[in-house]
Amino acid sequence: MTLLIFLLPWIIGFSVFLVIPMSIALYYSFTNYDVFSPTSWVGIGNYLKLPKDSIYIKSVYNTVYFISIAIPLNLFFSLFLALLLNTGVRGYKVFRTIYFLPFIMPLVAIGMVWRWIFNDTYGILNYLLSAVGIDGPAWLASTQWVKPAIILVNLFLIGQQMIIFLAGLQNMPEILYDAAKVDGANWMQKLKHITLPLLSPVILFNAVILAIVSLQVFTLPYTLSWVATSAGQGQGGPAYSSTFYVMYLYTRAFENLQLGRASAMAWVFFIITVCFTYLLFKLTRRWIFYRV
Amino acid sequence: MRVPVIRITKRIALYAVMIIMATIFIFPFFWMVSVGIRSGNEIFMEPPLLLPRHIQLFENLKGTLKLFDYFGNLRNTVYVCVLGALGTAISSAMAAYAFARLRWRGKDLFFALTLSTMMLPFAAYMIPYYLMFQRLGLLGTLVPLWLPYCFGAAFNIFLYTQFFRAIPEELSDAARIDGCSEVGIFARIILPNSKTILVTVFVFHVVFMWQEFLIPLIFCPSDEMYTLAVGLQSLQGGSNPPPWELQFLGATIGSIPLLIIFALTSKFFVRGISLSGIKG
Repeated sequence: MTLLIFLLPWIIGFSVFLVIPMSIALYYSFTNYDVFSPTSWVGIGNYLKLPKDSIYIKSVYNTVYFISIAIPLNLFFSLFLALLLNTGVRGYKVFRTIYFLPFIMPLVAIGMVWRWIFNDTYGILNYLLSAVGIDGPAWLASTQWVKPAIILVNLFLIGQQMIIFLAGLQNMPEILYDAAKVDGANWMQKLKHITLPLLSPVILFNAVILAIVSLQVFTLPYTLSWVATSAGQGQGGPAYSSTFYVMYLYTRAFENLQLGRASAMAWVFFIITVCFTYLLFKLTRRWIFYRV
Repeated sequence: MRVPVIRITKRIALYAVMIIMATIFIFPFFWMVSVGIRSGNEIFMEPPLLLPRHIQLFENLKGTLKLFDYFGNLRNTVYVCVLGALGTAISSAMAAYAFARLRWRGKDLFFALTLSTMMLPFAAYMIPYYLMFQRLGLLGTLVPLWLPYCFGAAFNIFLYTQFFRAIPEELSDAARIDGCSEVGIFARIILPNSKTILVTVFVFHVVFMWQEFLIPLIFCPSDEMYTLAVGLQSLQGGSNPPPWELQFLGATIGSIPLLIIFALTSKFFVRGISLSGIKG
């Protein structure tokens, strides 16, 4: 009875706001539910349509492109900053706050500012590039450069990973470093043979967080690729080259109101997320070193 | 004599890298403010003007406040953030108490299930989630933006569990001998000893919800319901987008409250993030 008092809210939260919606989504994914016409069972029809939808394929490609660059890049960069901060520099707290700052800025505000920085004619980025003799690309207006541009902005949001790495680094046993010093190990050797192996569970933890967050990337590309012309407004361009999985799912569900079809996309997305996270754990098992 | 020279050069190189990094990280923020307070004819310049020649803060501010209902959006944001944060701070603590301090069958399994929901992407269930609130007649209200959080969230439960496990069991035992109920122990011993983590969870939720964009995009169709995230997005405009300096000033005043919250609570924030990683 006592147990129930404590657990009841979460049992409701867990079932009503997670398990039940997930199950209903599974059911919808086998129907042609679209608000306007009567709903009927279509079996796996929605799933079969997905590979034939060229925009869908594009959104999968874009998402794979994004995660395969953004995850390693952010992991590397946040570790790099944490290592810098961990050298015992003066003004440690100031630097830490500055590197953390973009993480607590509203994403939409970040997106707005970068839209202007990326402007191909008047943007300050291309001005700086031209100062060193590089003719900058059209960034957000270029099918080729829009994804790298989004990855670049995303690179500023490493605050959380950096703090987790810092906590891990500050938790290292001093004695191993003393031993390495006696043996005459240099900084690189210490990093390779002590720090990284000891930090490997933290690296995996950060990789998992990044994987879950990056797969769902939505706000940043939505804001950055926002285009408003007299013909109308929209996002994910140019030519769908910045349409990521959740963006397309959102469009199908809440703009086209094809709820059955969007539910199929949602379940495929769920399965992808689970498989990807599972693989991450499985494939890294050999490299992860757990301290006893 | 050579060793110190090398050491000094290394030191200088280290600071140089850190300062360059800091400059790059600060720049978008600086640029947001700098463009936001200048006059329109200082925007399209080649080369771009780093600092405005004429500061016209008040004129721009008047223009920006006409573009979107800043104070209305701010009020909505604070409202949903605070209610949700209170809700999750209490409900998650209750669940965590059951996981960390009570003995019952199936605990490990349910805890594993709970943690695995952290992986569950919102997009995977957002359609029935939306329709559920429609059935309940709650569309057009701000309820969907805070109510679901009053029933716990996996990440917060995890944070609390880590924290509760570190509180000595003897405290609870002593209270039990004195005839105190579990609810009494929770309210009078555990919670008063967990102020740090309570604040951390509260602040985490405020920052998360303040930034959240997809959820208010779905649930807030009209501008009197907008949270700041959606309000700022609307500044990017339709076919006739407002001038950049007004958009930038909007972004600035939209960011300031969150930055103030962070400045006041950064200790909790950093500690909470560190705590999430150590045992992760």
